[in-house]
Amino acid sequence: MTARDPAGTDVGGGLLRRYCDAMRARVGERADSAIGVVDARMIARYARAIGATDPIHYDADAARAAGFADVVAPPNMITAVVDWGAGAPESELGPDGTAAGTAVPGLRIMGAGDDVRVLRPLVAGTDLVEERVVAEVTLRHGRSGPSAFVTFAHTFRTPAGEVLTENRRTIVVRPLPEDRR
Amino acid sequence: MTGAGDDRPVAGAQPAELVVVPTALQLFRYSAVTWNSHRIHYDPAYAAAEGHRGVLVQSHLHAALALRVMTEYLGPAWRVTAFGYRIRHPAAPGDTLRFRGTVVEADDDHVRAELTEHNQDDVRCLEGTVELERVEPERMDPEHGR
Repeated sequence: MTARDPAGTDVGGGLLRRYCDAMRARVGERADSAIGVVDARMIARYARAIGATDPIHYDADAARAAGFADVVAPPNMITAVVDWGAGAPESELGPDGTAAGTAVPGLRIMGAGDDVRVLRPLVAGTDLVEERVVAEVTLRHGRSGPSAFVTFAHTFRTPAGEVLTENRRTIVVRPLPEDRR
Repeated sequence: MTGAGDDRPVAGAQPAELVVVPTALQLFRYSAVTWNSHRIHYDPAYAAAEGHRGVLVQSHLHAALALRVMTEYLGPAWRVTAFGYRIRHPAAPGDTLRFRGTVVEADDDHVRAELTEHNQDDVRCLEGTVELERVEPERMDPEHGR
């Protein structure tokens, strides 16, 4: 463990090590899910939530005039949606509100960043499939304690296989404050 | 400036910064439209229990705002083809967040820019890069979204 915890007795650090071991065992694991058709209303709501005012996000005629087939999503919308479906019943969510398989007792999760290639913009009416692969797990020891960085490789494509966006999404996982474990 | 005009961006250009003071309402709507039920974004007591000073701006919202600096500068004839970013410091409602872009490479149909976000204490919250490509109107294919 860390210099602060040479004997490895730190409860949070132990939890984090076990989490890393479990995630490393899943590297390469792939899950595919059908997203379905992304509609103009969702695109407009996303644009509204980020304060984007360009009519290409709200008005099909404006989007067509700019060369798009229909209203177009802001560039990171496709990477930002946590759940494209109904989501799990509340009783199946973790204490932090995230889905089972994401939430881990004793640990806290935050988004750390993305590395994205956009091959084609997302326009309303597009039918999407998402592939997700557990790509990489790194345990780092910083001044504020240990952190695990977990990277997932996401591919968003049409059912026919045309790729719109590829994303390597990284989350950071750290122990909860001691009194909350 | 460029905008919708014929002026092309040049290396070193700095678009107008985007200043955003996020609100709890904005975070709520962002979580709603992304179906993000993570309580750190809307439950202040829970966020405090995780050791945060308030509910936190979603990482993707940081990025969406940073990207707006370049997409609004260049206009819809320019399409984002790649971007990457890391969150370096959290942000909460009430923070004054300044998003800036600097063009580091530019030619007739390609721009690469660096993106930053700083809070009211000049702490860097986000750093990243974005690449954009200019699409000539005659090359746009409405059947394929561009």
